[in-house]
Amino acid sequence: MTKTILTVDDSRSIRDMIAFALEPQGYRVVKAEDGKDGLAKARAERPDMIVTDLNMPVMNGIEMIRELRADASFNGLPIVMLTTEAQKEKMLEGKQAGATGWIVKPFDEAKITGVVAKLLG
Amino acid sequence: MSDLSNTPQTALTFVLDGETFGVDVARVEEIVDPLPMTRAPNADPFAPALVNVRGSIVPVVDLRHRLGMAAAEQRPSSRLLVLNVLVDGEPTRVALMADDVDAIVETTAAEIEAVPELGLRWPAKYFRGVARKNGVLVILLDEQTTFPPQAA
Amino acid sequence: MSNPSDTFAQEAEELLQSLEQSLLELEGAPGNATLVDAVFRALHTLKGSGDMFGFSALARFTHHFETAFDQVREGRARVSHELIAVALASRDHLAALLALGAEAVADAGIAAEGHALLARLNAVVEEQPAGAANVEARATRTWHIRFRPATNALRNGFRPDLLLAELAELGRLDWSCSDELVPAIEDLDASDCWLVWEMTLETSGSREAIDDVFLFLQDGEIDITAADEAPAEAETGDEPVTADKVEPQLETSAGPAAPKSDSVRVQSHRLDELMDQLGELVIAQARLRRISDELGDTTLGETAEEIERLVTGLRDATLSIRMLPISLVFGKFRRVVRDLSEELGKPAQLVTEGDETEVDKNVIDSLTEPLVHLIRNAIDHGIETPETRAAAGKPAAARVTLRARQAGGEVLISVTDNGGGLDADAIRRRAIERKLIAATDDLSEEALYQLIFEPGFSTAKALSSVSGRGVGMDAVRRVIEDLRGTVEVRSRTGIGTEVTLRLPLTLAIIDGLLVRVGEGSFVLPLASVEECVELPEDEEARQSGRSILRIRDQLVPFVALDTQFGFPPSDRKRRRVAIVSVEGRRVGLVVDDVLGQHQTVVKPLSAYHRGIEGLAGGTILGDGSVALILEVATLVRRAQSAPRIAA
Repeated sequence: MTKTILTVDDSRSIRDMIAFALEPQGYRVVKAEDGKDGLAKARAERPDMIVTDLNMPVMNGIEMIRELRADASFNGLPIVMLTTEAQKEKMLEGKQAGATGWIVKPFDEAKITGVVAKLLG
Repeated sequence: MSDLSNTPQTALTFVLDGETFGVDVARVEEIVDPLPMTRAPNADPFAPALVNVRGSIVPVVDLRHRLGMAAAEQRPSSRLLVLNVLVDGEPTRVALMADDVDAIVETTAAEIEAVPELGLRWPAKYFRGVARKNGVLVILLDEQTTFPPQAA
Repeated sequence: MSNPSDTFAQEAEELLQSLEQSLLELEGAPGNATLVDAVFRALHTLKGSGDMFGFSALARFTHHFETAFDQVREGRARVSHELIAVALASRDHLAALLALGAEAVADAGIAAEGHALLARLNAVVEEQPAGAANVEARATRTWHIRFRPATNALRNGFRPDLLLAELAELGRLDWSCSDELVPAIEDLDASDCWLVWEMTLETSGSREAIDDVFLFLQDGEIDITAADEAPAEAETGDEPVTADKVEPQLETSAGPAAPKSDSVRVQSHRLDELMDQLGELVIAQARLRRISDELGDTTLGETAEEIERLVTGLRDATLSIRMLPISLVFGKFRRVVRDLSEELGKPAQLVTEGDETEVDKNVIDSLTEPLVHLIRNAIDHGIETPETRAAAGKPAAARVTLRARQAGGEVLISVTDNGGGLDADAIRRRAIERKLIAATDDLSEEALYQLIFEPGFSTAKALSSVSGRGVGMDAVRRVIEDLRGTVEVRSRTGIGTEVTLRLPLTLAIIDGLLVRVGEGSFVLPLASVEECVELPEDEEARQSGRSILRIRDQLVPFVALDTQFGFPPSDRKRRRVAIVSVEGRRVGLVVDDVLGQHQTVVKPLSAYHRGIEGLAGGTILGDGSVALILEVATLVRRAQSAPRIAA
């Protein structure tokens, strides 16, 4: 069964890159532009995994993760954050909000597919 | 002679062997009463000793020696001028021995004249120029040529 | 807060240094899995943090370097001489990329160098037939893993099945799951995770590979221990890497390397400031003691004494902050020895002893150059060609030993080679030729050896391309004497040569002996003073240049400092002699009076007085006067050469 991955990022090039990396692997990639959009798409598409940026307009990634985790229907959904910050605090904050893992930017295709495989099997 | 001779400057004047010299006031850190001196063994007679100026060890410079004047006894009016000059490219504090400290004079470019080659007893290279102030001839030191350890 | 990319650069430099170290050690112990892991770990961390801080060219190169090295780790490629050579060159390339700075784009030359290196690296690891790998028997280790995920892990997307599958990929996995922490059913939130896994993993994979599996699960409890601490094939014997360096910290795989828990980075100029302030405090305290002595007030005296005690404690504590292990310098020399022995075709091995010996930071900074020179000399001139060694029945591989130890207030650093030893006759001929000594001079071997440090002893003609870089042994001695140290040489024909640098532990404050010469006070470093004796009247009578004093059946030459200093001769009756010892020679310095010990804060002299021979600095005494600190080695040498000049 085709697995769906939702990428939430305000940067179009990042969204495209993730799609570019994952689609050849047989994943379906859905894109959202900010946290609010991401929340809506998550509810509509029921993805198997979410890859989200943290700094975004309208609703940031951490708020989105909190909202998702507050909803028991998303229990067990792997959520991966993309971080650029060198500080571990941001990662920890995201982890506490309920993220499953992270990918440090800049990243390459191998890193994306590696993490997706790790969390999705 | 330095091409800076045309810049106006404020000079502190001091006396050595009856002659009045001027040093750029920006170089002067303080004027202190004579301090106990520690003689440096085998030193250049231009920098024969060291003094403690507020916790720093400062070399004493003897301009009399560089200008070929006879050594003189300390007198009640004697002072040490603590100057900040470049020595071999490093900013260095030196304590210049003076017989007396006179006044602060303003000299404008127009007032400064070239050093008369034959009019002085000393090599002209040590001076920026001369200026006549209140009937006294003030000889303005060129700090760049006066203070190097080895006489240029 | 400093700039994160600066912090990275600093960290990366340390990683590159440890990488070099591990590679060099690996060459000597190619089967050592711990070292292979150490190389891999350094690369791994470098790649991860490099990426994060914008050093993407560096991260990319490291990635390929790491991939190639993975072949070694997996036992598919062998550690060979060529592999180490390429790996070292690649390490240098990484250093060059690091020097470019963050977000920098490498120019075509550097990029081409990178490509060429990677091609060589891949060629080296691929040409190894799979069976020939000598890490093939890479030990499988058994790891015990206890893992308790965070309670919310399942809700947050953790999949125990995937974790176990990932671990099973590494080797043979046995696991059991305990539910004893699961609360009573009425209190249970079904989406909470209360399970604890106990696992046993037999793997030839590294510790990092295991850590990587748990990368996103750091908020749980993870306990990974090796069942058998030593790898099965630990026949390499002396393990050069200590266990605490080998155990990776769990955090390291989680992005930025965690700072080492109990140390703080301090900019060195702040340490210098602290030292300056402390120096002022020591001077003020000397003044206080003087005033209290004059007033004779008991209460004040007690307070002054207490302050003195506190200042001494503060001094020791501050000095200890400035102390760094000498291994920081020693570490650089493996590479020097390797490159040189390669270049000169003289197999040589570097052995270091006393790596943990601590030396003042400023001393350390100045030591690299003299030591490089001594090591070059040892290999270039000291060590014989393999043929000569074979003929003499010596092992083909020569040995250069760097040894450090503390003795009293000094640190002794020696460079020893087991080469042919110094040729005293040749030195003597050269010295006569160079007019350093007269043909009639009768010098002891020790004195002859000292001549190699004289300016003008070495000639470009006599030096090979290696040593002849415009610095001779005289430069070594100059640097060491600027650090207020001395150089000693011992040598035995056919056995080897040992050059020992004797240095003060610290440059900023020394214990001194205060003496009076004429009107002036002078400080002799206490470490070089052996004893003080009265100058006998009859010796006083023959006050011409150098004289000889008999002390307990030993003849000790002495010089009067007043004549040395060009001061008017002293008319004082009962003078004293401070017996100092330098480079194994004892010399008496005649002074007017010995005033006592003095904790001396060393202040540098200005350009006017710095060049005067025999002066090491100045200090301010308790009464506010300036005293000059004497450089004993120079005074002694001058004293010894005096009669020859007079002759």
